[in-house]
Amino acid sequence: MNLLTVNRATIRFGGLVAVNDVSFEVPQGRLFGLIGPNGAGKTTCFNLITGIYRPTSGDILFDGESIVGKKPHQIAAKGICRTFQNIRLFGDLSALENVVVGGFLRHRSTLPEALALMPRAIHETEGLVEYAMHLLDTFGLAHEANSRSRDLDYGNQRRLEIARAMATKPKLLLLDEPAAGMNPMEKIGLMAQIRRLRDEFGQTILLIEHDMKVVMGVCESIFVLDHGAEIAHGPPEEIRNDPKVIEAYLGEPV
Amino acid sequence: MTTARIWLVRLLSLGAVILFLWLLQTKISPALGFLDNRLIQIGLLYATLAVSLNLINGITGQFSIGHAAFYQIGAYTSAIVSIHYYRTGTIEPWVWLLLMIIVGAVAAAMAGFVVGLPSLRLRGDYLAVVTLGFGEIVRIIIQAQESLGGSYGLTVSASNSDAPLKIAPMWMFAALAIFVIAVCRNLLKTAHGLPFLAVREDELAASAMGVNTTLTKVTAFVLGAAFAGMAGALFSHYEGFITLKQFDMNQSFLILAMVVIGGTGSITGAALAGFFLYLLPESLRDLPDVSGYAVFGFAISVVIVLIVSSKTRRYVRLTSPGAGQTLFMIFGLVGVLGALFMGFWIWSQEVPRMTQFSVSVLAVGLACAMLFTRKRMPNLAGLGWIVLCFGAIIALTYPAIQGLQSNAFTSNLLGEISYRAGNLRFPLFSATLVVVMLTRPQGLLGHHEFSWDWVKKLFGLPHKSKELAG
Amino acid sequence: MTDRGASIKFGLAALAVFVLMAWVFGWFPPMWEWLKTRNWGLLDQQIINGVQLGSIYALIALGYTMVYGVLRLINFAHGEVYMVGAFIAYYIAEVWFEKNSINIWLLLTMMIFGSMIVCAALGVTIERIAYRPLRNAPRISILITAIGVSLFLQQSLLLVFRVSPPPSITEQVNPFDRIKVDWPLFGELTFAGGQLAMFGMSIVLMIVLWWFVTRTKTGRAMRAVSHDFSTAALMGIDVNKVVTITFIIGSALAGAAAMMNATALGTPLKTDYGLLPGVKAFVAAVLGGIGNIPGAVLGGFLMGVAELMVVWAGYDMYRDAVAFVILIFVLLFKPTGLLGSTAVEKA
Repeated sequence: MNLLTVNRATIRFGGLVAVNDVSFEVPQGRLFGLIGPNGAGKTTCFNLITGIYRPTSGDILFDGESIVGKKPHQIAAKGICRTFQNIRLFGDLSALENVVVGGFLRHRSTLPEALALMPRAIHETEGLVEYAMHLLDTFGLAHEANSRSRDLDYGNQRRLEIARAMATKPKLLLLDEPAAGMNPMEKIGLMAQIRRLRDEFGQTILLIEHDMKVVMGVCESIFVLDHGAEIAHGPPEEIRNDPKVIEAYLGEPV
Repeated sequence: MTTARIWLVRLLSLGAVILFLWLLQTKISPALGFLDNRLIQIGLLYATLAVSLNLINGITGQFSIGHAAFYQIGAYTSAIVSIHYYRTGTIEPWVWLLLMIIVGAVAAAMAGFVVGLPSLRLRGDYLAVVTLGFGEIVRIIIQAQESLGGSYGLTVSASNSDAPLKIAPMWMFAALAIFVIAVCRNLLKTAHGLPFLAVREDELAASAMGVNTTLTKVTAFVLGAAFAGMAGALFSHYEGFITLKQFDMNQSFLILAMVVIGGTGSITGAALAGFFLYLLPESLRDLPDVSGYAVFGFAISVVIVLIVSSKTRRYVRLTSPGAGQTLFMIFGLVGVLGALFMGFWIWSQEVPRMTQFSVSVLAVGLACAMLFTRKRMPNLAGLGWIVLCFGAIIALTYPAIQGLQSNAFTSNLLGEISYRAGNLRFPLFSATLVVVMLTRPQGLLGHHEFSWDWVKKLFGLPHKSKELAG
Repeated sequence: MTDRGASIKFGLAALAVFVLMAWVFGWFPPMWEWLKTRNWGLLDQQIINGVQLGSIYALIALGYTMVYGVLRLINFAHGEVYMVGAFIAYYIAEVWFEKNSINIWLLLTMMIFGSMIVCAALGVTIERIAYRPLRNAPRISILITAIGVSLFLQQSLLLVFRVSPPPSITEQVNPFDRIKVDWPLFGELTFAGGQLAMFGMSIVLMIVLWWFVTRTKTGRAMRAVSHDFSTAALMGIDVNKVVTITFIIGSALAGAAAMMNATALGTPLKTDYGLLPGVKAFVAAVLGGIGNIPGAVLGGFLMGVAELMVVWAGYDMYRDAVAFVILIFVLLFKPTGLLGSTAVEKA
């Protein structure tokens, strides 16, 4: 069963066609990679899926239901959550609070209840905090729970973003260059972390990454974009040897 | 926490509040009669207003600078309802007042909804200008309506009498302030406050995490406006007479300044700033036309402090070690004594008690600035310096204006200038705003809440957290 | 994009609600009656007055728009600079006109240059003291500082300037009564000499500004800085110098506008003299597309005409509100203004 189906999605900004007639499917429980040279339209794809942009034409199905035209928060509520290429944490909030914001999506109590400090709101908050602490622990951030997220170091910020996204309990997790700016050791840790997410939580993940070691090491199938259009897709071994992919990355065929 | 325990705490705190309000009305307020109760009441009102603006501005990060409009709408709506429907003797005044507070809240909340809508598309300075424009539109419309008194003002009276209606008791002001503070605190205490903070920090990321940013922003505007409307209703039934001047652009800026100086996002910061930034300058309004000697003394102590400041001290220590130190000791002592003398001197003057209190506080602040070096108690010295700048402006403008007056040419040019220290309130206020922005853009408390650790840090005592107020 | 459709729907709904309320509350008599009772003969006269008023707004708006273009800052204190300009013109008139019977044209020249110079100095001082230390701070802090500076000038000058009775320049010098012109070609139209001179002078100033911005090296640097602040700095442009020049020009234009308006109309001067013209000129700048120099001029003229149209329609009470209504509609439907360019936030 395909969790996400992108069907001939196209978006134009004025004369520029940023994503051109792209179709792919992400099956349940897969680690799916989206790669391509700079400016290929990968992040724009993410923005289409998460509802920040609306496709000019084409359709995006999630869980068998079209999500085109839905607001970002509605799509998040349906179970798609993402991280950002340039980290976008809530800088002045603590790491714990950042994760609780993610978990808040599934809240039950109403705002008046919270304003009157009714037991249900308190209990719910306690539950959310507990779950957030559990997640922070999973990502090795428990000791930083109360520090301002702005003050965390770079690798921790990246991990915190993933934890925050995981707190929404997404069916599909979109990671936008999670390894950017990490050193080789951190990258190895990240790869292990991503595999664990899949193995322990059964998480479906769609991943944008430039670092080929990470992509090839983690993903089970890969989709390659260039100039907004598909040039290849398949398992890593195939992509590695695909002449078109090599051309897109290195220019002229060798 | 178990449900039973939550309810127990709830009941106990409610009881404590009611007990406090009862004590305030029957015991404390009469006992404080020698102070000006009016100042305290309006001070509480400003605390309410500052906290309500803080919800929009500090917590949700939507930059609204037309808050007086909501205040105004609450005041006028409730006043009109009272004029038409209230008959004295039919209903307990305070019950009617409660009803009017609700009316004011509803009217202002509707206005808040209307203003909240642009916030969906605008951010930052553009939103600021739209809210400012909204405030002006409200003022202009009211000015054009003769039924609302136009620019003459509106007397709030019962339908069966012409006497102004002044039915707001002391406890109501305290109750409203406590209510608004409690609601805001509850919001931040549960997870429901986090979407608001998330919208402030990063709207796009918040929406990607499933926060309905539209709903959140409009909610903030509606709630903040409703609180301001409550304050407005209370105000109109306290004064018995309202004019446009009480709700103009300067009023909005005043409330904004309170939030900013108190620390955007800090409820306690806004409440404390609202209360004291009204009380302190307002009590100085009655400062007597300062006698030359007092100003002279004050000016001298200011000069002394400038000399004793750590930089000059370091400089002199390097150039002439022995004599300089002794000289400084003497100067510093004279300065402290001078400041303390000011604090005592004011009690011999024929001015309201509140003024005497405020001057004493200022004088003690000045003395603190001199006594505590920046190294040992940096924060208190900092506060002292702000007080000092106030004093310096007062002390220096007086001789300057005297000089301009004594010169025939300039005095002819500038016309009559009536110099009163009280006239300096607004210049001082705006100067503080600029200085705070330049030196400490996050305000006194920053995003933090008031805590005793903060006070301890202020006095250089051992404290737990390093980041606090840092 | 869905945004546009939604905003049009919202606008129509708001309009419908407004008309309905107008009808329900009987604010307007029925439309036809209303139209019949208008004084159509005055319409062209009011449009001309509007254009003249608009030239003042345009001059002030230029200051807003240039500062915004370079620093991305709404200089809230600009209205106060305008106010100071009017007072300076008044003081120059008072000192020189009463005592020495000075040539009127020389005096007017002194007044306009005097207020331009003082305003330029004030503008630069404000930038140096209040804005420059905060250049890298969040924009909200700078905005609050600007509000603080504006309040400070308004309130502290209240202590220094003559306030009671509020002075008026025409008490001292009223040059334009003598050169009142009738315009035979257009029938009943009359131009007060003061308004004509005001209009002509502002056009001259705008042309000089246009020449400066497009033809000189400094002007080019200014455009470069407003295009991209940090890149311009990296390209070796002295950004601080450009900012200073921007403030000099913007404030001087405000000073000229203040002198001309106060002299031609003789409005009593108070320290809140600059508040409303300032805000209206800001709206004009937004209407034209903030940061865009021709836009500010266009916006200023439109603003002046719109305001006097409201007066002509008989709603004198609401003439100050029209600016804010325009502002809200512009920001809701075309936030970039008439001539502004678009900007997209990147995710």
